[in-house]
Amino acid sequence: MVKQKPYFKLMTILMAAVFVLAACGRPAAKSQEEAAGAAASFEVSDGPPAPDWTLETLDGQTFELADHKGEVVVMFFMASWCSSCILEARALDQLYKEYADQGLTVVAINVEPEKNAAGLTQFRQQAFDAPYAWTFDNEFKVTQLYGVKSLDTTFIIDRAGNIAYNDAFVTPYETLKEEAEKWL
Amino acid sequence: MTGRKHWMLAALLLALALSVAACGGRSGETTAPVEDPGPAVVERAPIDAPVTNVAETDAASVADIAVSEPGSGYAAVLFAIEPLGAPCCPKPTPDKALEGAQGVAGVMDARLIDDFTIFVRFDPGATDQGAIASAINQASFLVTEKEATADELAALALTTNDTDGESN
Repeated sequence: MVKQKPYFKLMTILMAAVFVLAACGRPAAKSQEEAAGAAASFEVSDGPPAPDWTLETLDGQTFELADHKGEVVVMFFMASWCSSCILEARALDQLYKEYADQGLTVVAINVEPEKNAAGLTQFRQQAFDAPYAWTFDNEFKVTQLYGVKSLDTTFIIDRAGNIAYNDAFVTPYETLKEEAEKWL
Repeated sequence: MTGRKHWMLAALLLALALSVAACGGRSGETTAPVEDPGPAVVERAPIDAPVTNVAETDAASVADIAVSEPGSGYAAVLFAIEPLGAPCCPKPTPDKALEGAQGVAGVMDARLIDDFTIFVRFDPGATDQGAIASAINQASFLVTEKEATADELAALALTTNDTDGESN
């Protein structure tokens, strides 16, 4: 019988380890390339990064902005007593229904000091029961984080997580559509 | 085959098995799909349909009362206010915020300490801090409770006029 050298087993184990690492490394590298390629196929704004936030939703879940990176996110600051806000909420309903399948997310942020679920539900009904996310910013954390000074303020976040657009008026559907299409 | 060849073949097979086992879950992670936002349904509805005011206070969400002395019959709180414009509504002014607070049933007294602070004394049996904050918010303000000691609030309460619900 051939006598194995003492280091032969060690060499074999090392080879096996290298094999495992090499095999595992490739898919990870490939996925990064794929991600980079995917991002490159969309327009990315040169706006500042959108700060992350998490809020409770009307249906008791949570909405975290970071979970929607890779999507175009429209943030809409409103209050249930704000009659002009209903106009933009309706425009966003139309926009969402047209572009949700292309990666558009809409989130309404209710700027009231209490979690006024009844009021927000009624408001939502007046906005054609819009199926996008409805959240409570009852401590005004997101409102202050984004420096919002007026209701009907709208932000559009691109797929890279940058602020691509913002305004502080009742944004008409045509403007929302034009701005959103730039980043979808 | 020699013993050495057997050993090498076994090692290579082991490595292959390890590769498959170790990488199977990982490749799954990298291809996890983004949450499906659901089917897109295009419903063109008129966006200029009639709008009504739907303001409503949720009585269930009662905020803590800053000061409530048993037997004293009142509670007191300081609110910090910050204008929040709204295209629908008049320009926010401190006086409008004050009027908002004074309009709440159960508010015994309300006054501006400065342009950014409102002191409110109220009957905790008739209203609550959250309802008052909502009323100020509807005058187009961000409103948060401002830190104050019980002594500070008591001193402020002593210097205001009790108007029995008709605040000055």
